[in-house]
Amino acid sequence: MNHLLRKGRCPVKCSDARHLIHLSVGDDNLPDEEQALGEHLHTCSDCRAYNAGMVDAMQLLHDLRNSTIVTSDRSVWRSVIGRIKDRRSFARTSRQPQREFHGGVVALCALSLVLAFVTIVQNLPVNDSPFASVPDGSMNVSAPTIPASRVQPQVVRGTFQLNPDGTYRLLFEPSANRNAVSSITPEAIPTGNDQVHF
Amino acid sequence: MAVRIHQMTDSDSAFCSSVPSSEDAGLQAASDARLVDEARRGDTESFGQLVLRYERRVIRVIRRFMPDDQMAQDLTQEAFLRAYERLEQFDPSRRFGPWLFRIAVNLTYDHLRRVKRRGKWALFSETGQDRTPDPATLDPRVHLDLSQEVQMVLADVPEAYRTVLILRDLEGFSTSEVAAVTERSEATIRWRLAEARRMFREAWDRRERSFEEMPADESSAAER
Repeated sequence: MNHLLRKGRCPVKCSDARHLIHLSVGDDNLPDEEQALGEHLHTCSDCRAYNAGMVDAMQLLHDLRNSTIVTSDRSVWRSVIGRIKDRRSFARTSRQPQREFHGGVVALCALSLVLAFVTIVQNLPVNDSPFASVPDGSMNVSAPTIPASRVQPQVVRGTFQLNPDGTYRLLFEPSANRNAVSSITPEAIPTGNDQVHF
Repeated sequence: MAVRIHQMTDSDSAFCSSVPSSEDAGLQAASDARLVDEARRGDTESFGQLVLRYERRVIRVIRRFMPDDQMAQDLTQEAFLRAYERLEQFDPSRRFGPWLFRIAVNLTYDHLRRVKRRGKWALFSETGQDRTPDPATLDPRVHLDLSQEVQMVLADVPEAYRTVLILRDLEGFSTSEVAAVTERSEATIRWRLAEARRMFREAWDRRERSFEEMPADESSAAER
């Protein structure tokens, strides 16, 4: 509707005018719409007759609007607050059995989790160390499978002792980390108490 | 039981039962927001103040859809109860009044649909002889007063259009307020309003024509 009015003094068609009449009878037209309608009604008798019929129909609604409505004087608040309290107490009482049920379910779940954890732990493979327990001061020199990236250079103190069969026995200090030892090559064998880097 | 007679006046343009001016309407909305906030924190007395503020208007709106005062009271209670239960979901940036009226209108329509469905079931359970109207009271509408006639014609208007017509033309809500209640744009409300008035006028004209034709029908039935 507004796009027609914005174009200027464009004549309003009867179909558009009737739409404006439906709004006009309730004072719902915009000022320019009301003006355009007025100009159309000035020239169209059919729409004038239609407008009169709409005014009569709207008068019925206005009469109904102004008619008396008999209602109770009592406020609904007392009933509403009573029902709110009833619903709260019902919600509280209906919740209690559910709490017991939930506790049992939680206990069962916890027990199941504990049993599963124990089973998993018991079935874990035992990790045998490649190094047998040896007395302080001596150790085997077999190489553990440690990735090269994890090997940390470490300085350990010890003493090489020549065995009767020509092999060397390396005697470490008690605090040395035996697990960090790799193979010892004959070239690396020092004499005396020199430091050995592995 | 004491009875209050409420006369609808043109100055009843705001949502609440009192009659504030446009400046007061702003203050009204602010205090509604404060009461809603307190009610959400568990203060039922604040919600009680909201009930006292809106109950008269809500009852009146519901009565526009149905003549039964007791049912209107029950639906009003249900509307406030539902509003209380849904306070947590209420967006505090919106106004409480339109939201409350939306609940009330939806509840009213739900009730009317249930009644209509029950009526249909009753129709199917009856025999064909029971369904024919009693000739002694061929047209019970003859004995209705004008307001009841208008109410009956309004019932012929489809729901979405009837809502707009009732809120705007019978209750004096502005188009922006109707848009807030129905959650539609103002342009949609204006269009629906125009269509609703057209439908009402056509339904009224049809009724008038059937009324005028009745004496001829009755006389022809008597001759047979």
